[in-house]
Amino acid sequence: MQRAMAWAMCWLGLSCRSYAVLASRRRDRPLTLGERIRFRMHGLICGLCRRLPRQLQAMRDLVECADAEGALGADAPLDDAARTRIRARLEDVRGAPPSGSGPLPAKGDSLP
Amino acid sequence: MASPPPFDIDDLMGHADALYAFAMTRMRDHHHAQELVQDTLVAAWKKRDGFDGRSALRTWLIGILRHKILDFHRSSARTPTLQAASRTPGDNPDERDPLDLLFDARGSWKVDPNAGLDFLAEAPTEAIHRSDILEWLRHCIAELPARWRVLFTARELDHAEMAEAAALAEVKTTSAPVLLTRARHQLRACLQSFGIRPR
Repeated sequence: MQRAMAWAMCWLGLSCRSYAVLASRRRDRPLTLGERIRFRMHGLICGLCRRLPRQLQAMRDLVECADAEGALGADAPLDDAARTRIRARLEDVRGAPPSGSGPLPAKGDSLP
Repeated sequence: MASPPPFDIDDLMGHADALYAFAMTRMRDHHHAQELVQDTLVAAWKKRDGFDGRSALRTWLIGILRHKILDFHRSSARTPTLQAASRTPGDNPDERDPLDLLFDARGSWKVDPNAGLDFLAEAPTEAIHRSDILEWLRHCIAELPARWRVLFTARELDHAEMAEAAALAEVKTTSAPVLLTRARHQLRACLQSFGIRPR
């Protein structure tokens, strides 16, 4: 009985999988009326899925927090060769007069 | 006139790893990421008088880097590679749909989607300071296929429009929502796999 029910839900686009897809889609565009109804209905009857939209949001917030601290890719730091190259380049421009007079556009332009 | 510079080259170099990390979560190639970090630090040094100290130096540097990344993607989008133009979801073995693993044939969860993810209910600013969670997150983001990662960061962190995010990741605009769904669920499932594992 439960199995037949699950097949029916799947066929109607009310499966957990469909819900998971919609939970992602709605972060990118407004759901259509039909999608919204299916999303709501499944959310009402399915305790497993109910927290999924909040999880996706919380996951994003977590990634943002880590990213803001520059902590996301930090287990792969710059290699020594790159670091040496960058430092050498900075030493090259150390004596250059600040702001505006270099090849860079002035402050306020779209490209800093 | 000759006020001392607000920071030194050593100060700039102190942020190089963080900038590189920032770039690597948004770029497909580490050579390009290194190049942009260099461009950013050089630009910062040249514009040092424009740094007013109101924000932290790192925040200021990341602002510059963010522009550089966007410009880089814009200029490279004008010369798309043949390879990228023909690629569609699913033709890369690394980019298999995680939903196929997460759900059975009837579309039901194989694993309770809430198991192991209690930490998502915590305040993110606190959760992120738990070293294990930060490790999981780093690992899971790094494990995402490059195009998914670029799409995810463009949409979820940088609030790019779908068409722009698709261009950054070099995927078709029509494929982008599908790939984003995969990216989100892959990331969620990856975090969950760490969360369930007994510590």
